[in-house]
Amino acid sequence: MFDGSGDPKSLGSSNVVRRLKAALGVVLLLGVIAVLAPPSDSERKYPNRIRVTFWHGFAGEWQPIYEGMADRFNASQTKYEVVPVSVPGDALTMKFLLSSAGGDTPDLLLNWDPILGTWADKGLIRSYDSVMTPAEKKKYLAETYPIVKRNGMYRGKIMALIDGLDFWAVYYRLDHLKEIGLDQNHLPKTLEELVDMGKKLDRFDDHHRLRRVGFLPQGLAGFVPVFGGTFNKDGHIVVNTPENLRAMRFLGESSKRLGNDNITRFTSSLAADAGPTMPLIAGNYSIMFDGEWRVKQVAQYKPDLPYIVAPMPAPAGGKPNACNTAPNYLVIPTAAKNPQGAWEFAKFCVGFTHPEDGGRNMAEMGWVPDDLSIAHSKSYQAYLKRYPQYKVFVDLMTSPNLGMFPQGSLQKFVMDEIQKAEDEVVRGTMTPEAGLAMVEKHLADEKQRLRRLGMPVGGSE
Amino acid sequence: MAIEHSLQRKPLSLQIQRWIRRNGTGLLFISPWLIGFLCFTIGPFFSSIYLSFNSYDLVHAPHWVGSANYSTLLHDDPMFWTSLWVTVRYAAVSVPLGIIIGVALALLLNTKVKGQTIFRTIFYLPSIVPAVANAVVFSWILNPEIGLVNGILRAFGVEGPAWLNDTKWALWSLILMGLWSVGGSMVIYLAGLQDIPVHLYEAATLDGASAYQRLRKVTLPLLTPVIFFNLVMGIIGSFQYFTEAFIMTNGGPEGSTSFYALYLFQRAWQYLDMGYACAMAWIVFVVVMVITGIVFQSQKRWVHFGQ
Repeated sequence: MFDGSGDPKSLGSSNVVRRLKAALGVVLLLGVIAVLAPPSDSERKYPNRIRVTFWHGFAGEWQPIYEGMADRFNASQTKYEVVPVSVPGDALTMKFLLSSAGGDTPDLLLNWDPILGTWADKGLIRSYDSVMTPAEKKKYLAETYPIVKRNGMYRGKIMALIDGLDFWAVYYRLDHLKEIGLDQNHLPKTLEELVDMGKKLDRFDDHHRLRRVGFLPQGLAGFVPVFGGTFNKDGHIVVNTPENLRAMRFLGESSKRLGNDNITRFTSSLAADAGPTMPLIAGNYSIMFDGEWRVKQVAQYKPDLPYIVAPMPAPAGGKPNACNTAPNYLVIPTAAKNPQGAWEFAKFCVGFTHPEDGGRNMAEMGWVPDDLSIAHSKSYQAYLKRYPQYKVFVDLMTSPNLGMFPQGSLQKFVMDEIQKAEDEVVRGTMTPEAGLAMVEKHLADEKQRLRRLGMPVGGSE
Repeated sequence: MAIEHSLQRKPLSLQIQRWIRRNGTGLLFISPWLIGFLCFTIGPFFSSIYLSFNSYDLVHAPHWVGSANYSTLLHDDPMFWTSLWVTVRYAAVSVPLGIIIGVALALLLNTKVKGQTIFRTIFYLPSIVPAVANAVVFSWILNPEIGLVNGILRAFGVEGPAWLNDTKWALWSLILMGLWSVGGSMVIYLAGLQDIPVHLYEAATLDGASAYQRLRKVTLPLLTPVIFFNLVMGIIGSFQYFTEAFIMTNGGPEGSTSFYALYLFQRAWQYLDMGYACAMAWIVFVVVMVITGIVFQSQKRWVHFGQ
C-alpha cells in the first residue's frame, strides 16, 4: 500500500530521530519549568519548622527593618519559620485576590489599602477570634487603645491587628514663624488663627506665583474629625452631614484663596515627598498637617531643623485633638494553612504579649504602639526620649475625637467618590453642597446596583 | 485519483493517527505556547462570556444574574458612558493623527539623505521604550512648573497650561504623548513605501507629474493597504488604552481621562466586580468589532491592493 514513506530502514531511522527530537523537546520544557518554578524549601533557614508565609508591601528602607522583625521572631522560638515576601505597591492587593481565587494564600498579610470591610464581607479573611485564646481576647479588648480596636474590628469581630496606625498633627517651622514675630509659645489656638497665620507666611514671586505656602489644607478625610464630622455612623457610611459639609467648605475656600491653578503649579514643582528634599525640610510649607512618620524622617535627614509639632487646633464648633487615622492591617486569610503561626507572628509584630519586642518593633518603624503597656516599655520610652516630638502622636492615641475612613464593603468606592468630589470642589467646578450630594447619590446608586446583582452591600464598624 | 479515493476511505482514527505522526513533533515543540494560548487566552475568552452573565467577585462561585450586568451598564451607569466617550474621543483624534505623523515621518526618512539609518533608528527607538518608563518621563516633561515643555514655552514668553492637571488639556496631553511612540507604525509605512515599484514613479515623472502629484497619485494610493492595517490596529489599541492614564492621571482631573479600560480595571480589581467587568469587556469588544467591520467595509472604496 502506498503511504508516501521511503524504505523500511529509513523509516526506522526517521522514527528514532523524531523520538529524539520529542525527548529533547520534553527535556527543554522541563528545564524551563524548573527555572521558572518557585524556590524550594531547601532555601529556608529552618526547614524543619512550620512555614508561615507572610506578604507585606514594604520596600526600600522599610523592607530590611520589617524582615529583621521576622528574623527576630524566628530566633525567638523553635516552632515556626516566618518567610517574608515583599510585594510592593498595588500588586499586593491584586496578588492576594488571585491567590485567594486559587486557594493558595499566604498565612499572614500586611496591607494599608482600605480593604478590611470588603475582604471581611467577602470571606477573604478570618476573624482573629478563631486563633486567640479567651484570655488573649480578653486582654485585647481590655488593653488595646479604643481607636486601634475601632480600626481592627468589623461587625463586632477582630478582623485585623493594627501594625502601625497613622495620625496627623501640625508641624510648624519655627524659623518661618520667627519671620512674623512668633515662636513656639504663640501657636494658634483655633483653626481660624492657624489659617490667618498661614496667610502671613505665604510667599509669592513677581508674577504672583506661589513660592512658599503658609498652610495648605488638603484631604477631606483629614479635616472631617477636626470639624466634628464622621464617615461612619450606626454601622453605615455617612457622607453628607453638616460637619462634613463644613470641612468640605473649608477646603473649597482655602483653594479659592490661593487659586487652584497656582496651587497645582506649586505642588507639582515640589521634590520627592520623602527624603532630604521633602517639603517640610525644603521649607516649601511653613505649616503642615502631616503624619507621625515625618518625625523620624526629619531626624534622619535634617536633625537640626527648627520645628515643633502640636495637635490641630479646633475650629469654632469643631473638636480639639482630632485627626483621621489610617491603619496597616495585619490580616489572616481564610485559606491560610497555618493561621496559628500567623497569629504568633502577628502578636510578635505588634508586641501583644511581648511589650519590649513590640516597643522595639514600633520604634524601628516609627509607629505608635497599640496599647499602653507597649507605650510604657523601656524600648519605646527610649525611642520617645530620642524623638520627643513623637509624644504628641502617642498622646493623640487616647483622644476621643479621632476619625476613621469610611468602613464596610464599599469603603474603596466611597473614598474614590469623595476624592472626585473634593477634586471638583477645590477646582471650583462644583459647590461643596453639590459635591457631597453627588457622593451620597453615587453611593445610593451603587448600593442599589449591588443589591440588584445579588452582591453584599455590607455594614460598618 | 485511485490514491485519493483510497485516502478518503481510510477510517477517521487512522487519519488522525497519521496527522499526529506527521505533526506531533512540531506540536510538541510549540506546546508551551499552545498550552499558554489555550489556558490563558482561549479559556478566559470563553469563560468571560459566561462570567458576564454572572455576579462574580473572584472569591465566591459565580451567581447567575442573566443580562443584569449589561442592562445596568447601559441604563444605570453614567460612568460607563463617560469612560466610553473619553475613549472614543481619544481614538477619534489619536488614530488619524498617528497615521498622519507616521506617514509623514516615513516619507521623510525614505528620502536618501546622509545618516538615513541613524535617523530611522532615532525615530524608532521611543516605540520600544516601556509604557511605564514613558509615563514617568512624560510626567516630568509635562510638569507645569519644572517641565521641559513649559520651560521652552516660557522662553518664548508663553505660560503653558498645567497639562495633566488641567481638565481642558489632560486628554490632549495623553494624545500628544502617544505620538512619541509613532516610530513603530512608521517602520511599517517605510516597508510599505519601499514596496512601491520604482517604475511607477518613473512613468509618472515622464508624464510630467510634480512631486506632490506623485505623492497623491502614486505613493498614498499604494500605501493604503499599510495605512489600512495601521488604522485597524490603532483602533483596537486605542480602545485598550490604559497604562499611561493609570500612572499619570488615574482618570483625573475631574474624570477627563477616565478611559474605558481604566474603569474596567477599577471595577474588576478594586471593587471586585469581575462579572460586571467581563460585561464591560464584551461590550467594548462588540464596539471594536463593529468599528473594525465598518472600516473593512469602507476599504473597498479607498484601499488599493495594486490590482
